[in-house]
Amino acid sequence: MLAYRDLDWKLVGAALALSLIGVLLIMSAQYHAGSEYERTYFERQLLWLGFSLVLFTIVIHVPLRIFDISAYLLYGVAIILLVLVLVVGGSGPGPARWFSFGPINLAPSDIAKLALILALSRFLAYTRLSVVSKRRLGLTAMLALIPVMLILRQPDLGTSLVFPTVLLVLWFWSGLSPWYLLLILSPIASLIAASHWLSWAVYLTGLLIFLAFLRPGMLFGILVVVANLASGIITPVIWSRLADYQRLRILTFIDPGRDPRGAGYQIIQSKISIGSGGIFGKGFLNGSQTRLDFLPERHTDFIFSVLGEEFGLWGPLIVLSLFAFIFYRAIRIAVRCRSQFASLVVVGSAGLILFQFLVNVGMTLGFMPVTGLALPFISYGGTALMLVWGLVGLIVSADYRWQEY
Amino acid sequence: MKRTRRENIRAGILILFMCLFGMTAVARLLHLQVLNFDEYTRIVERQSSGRVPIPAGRGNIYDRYGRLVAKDVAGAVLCAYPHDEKELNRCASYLERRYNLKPGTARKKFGLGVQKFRYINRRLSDEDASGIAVDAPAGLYLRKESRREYPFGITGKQILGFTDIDNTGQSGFELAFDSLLAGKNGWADVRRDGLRNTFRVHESAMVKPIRGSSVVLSLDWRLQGIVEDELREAVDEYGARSAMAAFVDCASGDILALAHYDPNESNPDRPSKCRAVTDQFEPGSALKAFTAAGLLDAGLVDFADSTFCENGVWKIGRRRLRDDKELGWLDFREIMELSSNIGIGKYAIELGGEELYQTLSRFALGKTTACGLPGEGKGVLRRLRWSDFNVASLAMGHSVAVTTLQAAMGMAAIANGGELMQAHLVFGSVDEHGRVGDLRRPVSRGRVIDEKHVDTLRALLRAVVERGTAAPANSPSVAIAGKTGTAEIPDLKNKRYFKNRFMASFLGYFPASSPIIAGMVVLEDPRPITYGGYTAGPAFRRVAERYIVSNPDLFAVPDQTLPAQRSSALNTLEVPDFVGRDLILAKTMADERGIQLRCSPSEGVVEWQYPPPDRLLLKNDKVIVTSRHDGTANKMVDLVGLTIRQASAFLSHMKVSCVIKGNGQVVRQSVPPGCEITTGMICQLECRPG
Repeated sequence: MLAYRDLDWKLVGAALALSLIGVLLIMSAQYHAGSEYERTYFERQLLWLGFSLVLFTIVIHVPLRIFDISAYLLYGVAIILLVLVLVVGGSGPGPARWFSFGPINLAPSDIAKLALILALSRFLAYTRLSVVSKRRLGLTAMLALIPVMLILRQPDLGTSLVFPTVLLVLWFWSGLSPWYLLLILSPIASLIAASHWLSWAVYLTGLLIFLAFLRPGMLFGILVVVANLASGIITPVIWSRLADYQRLRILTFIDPGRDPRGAGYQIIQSKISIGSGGIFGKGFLNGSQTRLDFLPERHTDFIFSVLGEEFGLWGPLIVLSLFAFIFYRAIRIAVRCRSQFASLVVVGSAGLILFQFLVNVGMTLGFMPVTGLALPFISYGGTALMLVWGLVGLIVSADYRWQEY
Repeated sequence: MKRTRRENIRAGILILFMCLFGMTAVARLLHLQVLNFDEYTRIVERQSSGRVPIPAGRGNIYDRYGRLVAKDVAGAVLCAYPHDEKELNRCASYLERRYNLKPGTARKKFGLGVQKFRYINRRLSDEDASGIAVDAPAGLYLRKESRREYPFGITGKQILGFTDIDNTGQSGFELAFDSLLAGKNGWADVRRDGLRNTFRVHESAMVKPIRGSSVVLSLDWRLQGIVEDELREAVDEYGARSAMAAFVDCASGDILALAHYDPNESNPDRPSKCRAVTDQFEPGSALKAFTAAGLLDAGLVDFADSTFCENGVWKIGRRRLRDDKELGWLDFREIMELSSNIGIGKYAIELGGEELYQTLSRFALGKTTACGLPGEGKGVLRRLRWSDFNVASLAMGHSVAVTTLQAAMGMAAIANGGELMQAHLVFGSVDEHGRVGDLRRPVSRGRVIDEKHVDTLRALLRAVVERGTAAPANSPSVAIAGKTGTAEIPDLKNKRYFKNRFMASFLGYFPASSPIIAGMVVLEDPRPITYGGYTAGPAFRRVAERYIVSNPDLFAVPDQTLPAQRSSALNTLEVPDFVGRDLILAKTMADERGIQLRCSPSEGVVEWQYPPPDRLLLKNDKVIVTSRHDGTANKMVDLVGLTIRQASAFLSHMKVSCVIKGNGQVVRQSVPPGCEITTGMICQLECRPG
């Protein structure tokens, strides 16, 4: 029998606080909406929170071993669902990202996130291969890239970014040196450096010197160099193949003013909302930008702006602290866990939540591109909320069972 | 332990990473919310506030009897503002279907574009508008704009003019009195939301629009209609190129009708001018009526004397003056009746050029009547070298030019006993609260003929119609007096007169005994009969006859009609006809007669009345009227004090069932006054014998 007393109530409390703040903000975001339907978003989010707490309770009661054993099965199921959603999913004109059951939209990518964390953790925990072995890196990379491919087909760039991030975090936690991580990420830097031949030359020289010092092995070194050269060369090719809206997002990220009524509109309005909130905010339900429909996507992607507008500087600071607290607790748990699997699951979960939080807040504050990632716990969205509470359940469960191997 | 140590380092790296991000985020928040707070607050204020104009309605125009002849109505306007390419495509294909265009042409035709505002149709009919409201795709909008409506169609349009698409006057009265009619637009500070919707906030600043004043014209639309009709008839019947006419009230100088008809006019719905005031021409013999006034005043006319009319041709120096017929010895009456140029010329020479010029100046020839319509002609009256020929030719209406209205005003002066009146087009204005302001009163511009000679001149003019050149204008039903004119039309290109093209005119008044209306009818180039007496004369006669028939009470001698006698005997009065009049005017009419008016709502046009017109009513009795006003429901009238018959007539007109208790006068009604009338309503009336 589970001893509730021994659960990490501080962590649960922080998560619950964030969820309730989310419900309030959704209420505020839709308070002056034109349709009755939109005004009930917060009631539905409250209902979803109920479901999430039920899920959380179930997860903490299930021994971690069960998740361990069924990790690959769940991964398989998630991949099948991802394929299915491409074939039959979605209703309406938007991209096929959900299964619709009446009012409920089920996003298989949320299930895939959980499945990937479990599958990667299982693989990395039990495979007796060197952390830098080709098979280990290659197979885990494959596990992560299959859902990425499927999600890119939807297409959903923002969500697909989550999977490689989880992979990198778990590689890091399972012992891969940060230098290697830097090398793996280097093609991205090359991509950016390649915008001018001189900067690219300087960058490549630096990379070669770095490789000479690190000596990661012949094959790995060659792969890194080739990948860097390739990414630099194909930059223009990729650029020309990006969808228009993606290209515009990148351009307007650099300069939102270039399209103030189109792609830059969201970022500009988000900054205006937050900026006009000042230190003390305009007060709950009183955000003029929110109320007057200036702020787009205000109950989902840009809900952090509502927080900034209505509660001023203090609201975002509290939310930032709560997230930091959750992350800090999770890392502590991960360190304490005796089971490598549990430790990896905890870091993967915390990493996923933190990454989404980071990208979303960076976007609303205007120092990261608009990717369409929602704010965990707070943004409107049923399966997303259930996913994070599932992850919180895993973290709390791992903490409770820290002594288990 | 080693594992834990390395994990601690990794944990530290992760936490460090998180802290770095946290610090960036906090720095950014401080930057946005503390350092740039003022800037963003300004942006918020700028993008969410705006000022929108509130258009003022244009004033109505009424005729002298309160008939609404021009009004402002709210009409639907179709405009496009597609937000994106998808909406744009849908709008374009919708418009192609609706306007039967070739696929792919709507975009160019209407200049559609993403986030571009375009008017599609600003004169949408009501059926079209309701159709579009049902099935228009996103990106197309219906707006309300006020536009002008003329209940009488093109009747009187020459005077009224027209307004452009923005409802500003472009010609005629609408142009001349634009500032009075237009009113003043107001504005309001509004909040704007992200979807560009605007809405008013309770405490925000606003200036109310001032609705344009309504104007009451001196014109009589019934006469105007008759005149236009008869001009059309005359042009057809006498093969004229065009026709003009002006009719004025003799006593007050009020203009009653101004019209022209030109079958070749390109757009009679949007006339650019009112030719009866803008076009000037040589009046010819019609002017002899004015010359005669001067001769009579100068005492030169002796009816016992005869003048030799030179058998049709009179050589004055090197030039010749001609008559139409070979006339011998004629007295002055015969000269007028037969319109002898030579005869009147000889008299005029005796009078002298300067004296003749002064006479015609007194008729205000060569000066505008200042009636207010745009582009009014002054006419031409010049001091010439007064050779005998020049004097004689001025006397017979050559080397002088008048507008139709000028001539009619002059004739009105003769008819009313010698006072040249200031021409009036406007009675007064009524502002949006129904206050009548700026009433014009009859103003004299001076005498044109001595009082003691007026009767003589009028007898002469009557004789012209009875026996002279205007005999075809003689009517058995109304005594007409006047003077004909047949003048050659100048060929401006070759600086001479056309050989056989004439301005045929009749200038007169009726009834001859107590003149009420004076006027002039001019036909341009009638064929084959060219004489004014045989063309313009009959047209004038028909106008007079029809007007007399349609307004018998105008011509009846007051106090001698039967109803007047009956009312004074019984202390009763006749119920006037309120239907079709604006409620404001109806109230004024009722007040004048001492009739109480019960009405609802408080503005609009009267559509029903009880008792019906011409019934007799005791003083201080009540008349119920209902009025139609755009957008308001019918309301219950205060029935207390009315007879059961009156109350139930009203209720049955409103389709309200009524239950009556008692008899006599209504003392209580179950539906209170001002209550909106709904279908199936039942009203209980308690009555007691009054």
